[in-house]
Amino acid sequence: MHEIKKSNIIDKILARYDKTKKSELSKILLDIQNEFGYLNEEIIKKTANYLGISSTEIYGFASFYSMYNLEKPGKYIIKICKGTACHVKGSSRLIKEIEGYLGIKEGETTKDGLIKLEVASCLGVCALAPVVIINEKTYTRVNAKIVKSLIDEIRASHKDGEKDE
Amino acid sequence: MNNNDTEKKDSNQKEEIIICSNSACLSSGGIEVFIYIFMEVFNNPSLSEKYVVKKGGCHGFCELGPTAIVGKDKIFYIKLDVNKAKEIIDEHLLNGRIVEKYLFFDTVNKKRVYRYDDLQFFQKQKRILLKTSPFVDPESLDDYIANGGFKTLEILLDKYDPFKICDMIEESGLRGRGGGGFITGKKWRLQAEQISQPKYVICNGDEGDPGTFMDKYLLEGDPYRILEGILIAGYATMSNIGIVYLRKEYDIAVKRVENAIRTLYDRKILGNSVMGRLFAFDIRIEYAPGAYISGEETALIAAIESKRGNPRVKPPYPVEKGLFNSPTLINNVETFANIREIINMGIEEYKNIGTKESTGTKLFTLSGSVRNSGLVEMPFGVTFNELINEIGGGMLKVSKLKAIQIGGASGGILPASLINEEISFENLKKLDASLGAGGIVVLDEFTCIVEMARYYLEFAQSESCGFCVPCREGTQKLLKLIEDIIEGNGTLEYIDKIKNISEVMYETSLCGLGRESINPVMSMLKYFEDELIEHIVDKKCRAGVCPKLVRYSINPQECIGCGACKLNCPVNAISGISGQYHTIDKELCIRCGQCFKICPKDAIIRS
Repeated sequence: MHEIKKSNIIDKILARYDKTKKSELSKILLDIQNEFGYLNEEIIKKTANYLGISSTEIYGFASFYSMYNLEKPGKYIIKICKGTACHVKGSSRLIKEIEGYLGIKEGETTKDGLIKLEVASCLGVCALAPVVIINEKTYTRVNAKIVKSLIDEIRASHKDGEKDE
Repeated sequence: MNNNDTEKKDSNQKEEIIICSNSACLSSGGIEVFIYIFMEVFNNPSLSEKYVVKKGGCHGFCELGPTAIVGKDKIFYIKLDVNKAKEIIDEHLLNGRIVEKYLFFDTVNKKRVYRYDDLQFFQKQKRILLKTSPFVDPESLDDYIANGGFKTLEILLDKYDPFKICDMIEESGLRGRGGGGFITGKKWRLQAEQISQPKYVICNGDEGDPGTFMDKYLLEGDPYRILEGILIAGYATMSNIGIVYLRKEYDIAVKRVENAIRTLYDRKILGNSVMGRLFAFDIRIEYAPGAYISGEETALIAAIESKRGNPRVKPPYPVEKGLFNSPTLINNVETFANIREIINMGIEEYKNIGTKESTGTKLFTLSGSVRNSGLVEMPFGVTFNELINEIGGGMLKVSKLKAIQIGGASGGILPASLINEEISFENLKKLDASLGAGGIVVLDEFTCIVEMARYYLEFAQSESCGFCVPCREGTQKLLKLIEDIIEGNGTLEYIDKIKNISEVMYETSLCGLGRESINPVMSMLKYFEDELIEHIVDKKCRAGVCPKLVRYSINPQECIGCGACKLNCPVNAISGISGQYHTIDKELCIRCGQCFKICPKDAIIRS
């Protein structure tokens, strides 16, 4: 049932676009990603069929850019900035510590699907380095202790939520 | 109509409370402060009679956010939160007593600064692009128009021939602010001469250089100014479609530009008849899908066309064969921000600002170990010394200046001895550095230059599109060599190898990324060779950054057993009883240097 619904939504999004315009690909993928959070094989194949191009071409396109997720992202996305200003103020150590704390490497998601760790090249808040963004909320002048406590908060709230359900 | 006018007069008579609303201020609690003050003033008739609360654009002093500028005297409150805002409302707004403790404290003159205009940080700057933005609501077209917006466009549409405008821009000497430094007017003229339609004007806002954020704050703080610049470019080059190419991560900028474009359509400033004249122009947003390389012109075009962002060989240049094979003019956000001022000011006056070959002002983003970091506007020809010591307020804490990184990943690292050099396109070229987009990161003694070079190579290596061999392989090999040196496995032969690879990359790479990614390495070789050799021969890192090359221990004679190091050690590698001397467990130690920095007696030995 769920699968049928999903497939319908993809069709609906595709129908909004002109079949002959290959240049609409980026917008189609972005639209679908906004709906599902990521792009999987099924989506890529469907889009490829619709536009009449090969799925490898779409995969090549989507994997080139950091905007598209090809794996299901975690519920929370932690983005740690690695720009020069943050780097000088110790963000590389911060990244390593958080990697250790979460038990994953950058770009990966924890096994329970809760947290994804990303590293951004520069978030443009250099004056307040180091910077971490968790689900669109920006935290400035952080250190490992602060980020760890934020992670603890996320984990704790999630556990409570499970109990409620 | 009459009603509107009286209303306007009313709001003019009211004193303004302007709360900065750029992303740095918002992220440190600005939203809550704005909502709180707005609601308090709105709900209290005696206050709402006298004050009007509005958002303002970025004033550049991001370090101090969130900030508020209150009243006609422009009293400048910093680092606000809701509690402080409450106090300010009670004391200042209701009772007229300025709350001194929330004002800026000038550490040099040892006194509180009351007025916004009196802050040294602002006083020393020459602000042209940023002059109005702190006081204008970035989300309100009326506010922008009230401050002289779109008047320039109107005059140009009525009185000037498109080619004449191209000439004017060329004569002003304006050069592209994205890093290339190409004469903007020449580009415009080439585009204007193209006959085929449609013609595109693209505003490149895909700012990816680490340590740069001026485009972000321009788009957030003054979106209408950028759009007016694009419109003027569109008219001068007789193009009909404008595209703002934006990073999706800049969510506030995206929202404001979207809002601005919508408003302009509603008010008929965009569309089939711009301001009622015989000129049609559309602007839309395209998202940069997130790759450093897609800031390069041809890769940018590929990205909009939904292709992999591989650059191609130039010529043909985008003005001849660009987006969808149509003529395309691509300029940086800051370049567009300049247009209005050039016309308003007059070419002669604009030419007098800056140096002979680089006219006008430039936005710099100051960050790193400097006291006042933020967005700074100064004319070309300003020295690093003025930027760092006068505007930046000197170094943070007691650290000493070691080097200045300018221009992001394609720029260079300059030693402290060059602090009196001028910043301009021509002079930086002489110093083997490049201006890039204007990001300046101040580095102190605790930064290892070899490690910085590694950082930039890592960035270049991960951002290389992999299309041409010299860049793809070269960045990898260079990175491996530098990593070896940092690990303590380097030999002197490595220096020759690095030079050799860099040369090949410079000569044979297809686009700027490959050619310029060697700049940080080359400037390291040029200015910091002794430090590199120290890493290779003595296996020593003088900054104490490269973990394999430093050891920490505690001098028992000096240690007073205060426990500061123990408390601050992130891995609990330090043990000892209070009052007795402490020891560092060498196995556990990650060599972060925290204890070294914190020790009040300098008892920690770094070797």
